[in-house]
Amino acid sequence: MAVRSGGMVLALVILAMTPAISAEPEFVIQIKNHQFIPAELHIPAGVKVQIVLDNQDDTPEEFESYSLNREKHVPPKSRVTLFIGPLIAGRYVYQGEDRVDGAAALGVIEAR
Amino acid sequence: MKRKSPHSYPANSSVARSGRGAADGNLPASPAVVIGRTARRALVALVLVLVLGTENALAVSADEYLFIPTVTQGEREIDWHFGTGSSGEKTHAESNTGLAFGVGVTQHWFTELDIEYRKQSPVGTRLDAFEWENIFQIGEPGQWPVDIGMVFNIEKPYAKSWSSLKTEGWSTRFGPLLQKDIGKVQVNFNPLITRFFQGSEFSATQLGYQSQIKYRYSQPLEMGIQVFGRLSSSGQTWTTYSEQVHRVGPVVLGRLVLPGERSLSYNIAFLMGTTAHSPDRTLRFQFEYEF
Repeated sequence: MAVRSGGMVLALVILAMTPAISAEPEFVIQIKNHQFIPAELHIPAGVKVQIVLDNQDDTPEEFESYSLNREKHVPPKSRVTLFIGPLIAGRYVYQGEDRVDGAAALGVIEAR
Repeated sequence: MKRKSPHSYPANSSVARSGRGAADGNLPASPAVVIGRTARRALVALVLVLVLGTENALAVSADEYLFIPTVTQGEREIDWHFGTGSSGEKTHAESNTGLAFGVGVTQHWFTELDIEYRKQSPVGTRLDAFEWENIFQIGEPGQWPVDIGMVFNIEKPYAKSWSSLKTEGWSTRFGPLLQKDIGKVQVNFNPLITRFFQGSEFSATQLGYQSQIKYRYSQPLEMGIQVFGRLSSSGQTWTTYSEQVHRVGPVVLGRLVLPGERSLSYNIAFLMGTTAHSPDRTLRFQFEYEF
């Protein structure tokens, strides 16, 4: 029993480390100079999509949105994938990491 | 996490020490002393029956909280949780509290160290256990129809001497963490297994579960219903319903965003027991300072 349980834990941990592979439509948001590009992204409503966050800065960034129910850390010089939707039509605001000066990058995903 | 382990009171606990002390005295056998000794023994026996008798029913942790299958890398948190359960038909009032520090080490692994205290009449408050909690996020939220994670905890009950390891064994708790978003409603269900090691007097495998359904009204205010249960008794992995523990009740929770990438999350639940071996009422608070 203990061996089987340990095997199950190990299998799930390995699965957790496996990169996400999926066939959903893919959109890219670049992070450059602490800004999201594009600042407003249009995606189809009613469809699950992949959003790749491509952080080109030398500092970490964050993607945080209560309305999308997502919070993701994006390490410097790296890409992170999010899965969003299917969303009902509307505008969904997200923001980046708070900076020392109090400013945070803002972005919008519009489903239509 | 916060379940709790069915620790018994070990042979070197204050209760047991009282028992040995009463029998060790080298006093003259005058009638008054004999009566006094008998009275002390009776008192000790009563305390043992009260404490150990209910322990056979397996204590549940009043501060048990729900595991979530998502992890945020780089997030650090200080977690304080407290719960107090009233007595039930076959349970005694008990309070539990814990203080923990956790870190999101990677995109898929969160780890936390926890120190636990327990208060139970008539024993009083004592250090209860040390725990190492690990949450593994499997895949990404939204990637599959159900978000999946895994919890793997190791607990070392506090023991004053190695001799108590016979009754205060290590334990692990593990199982899948399942989460489903349906619009603004979020549903969680976590079937959990606890394994005891090193001569625990309890059944080696214990089964339990956690569940929650909540409405994500706004970030600072969400509401829902939580359910916690244990399907095992001290001697049986799957026991009869009347000996199981089930607690259900409303929960309010939320997250207050603070300047400088910090936040304070809260989680307050009022749970009602549905079986004789459940505390009648449990009030639980959890506060997490994230930075």
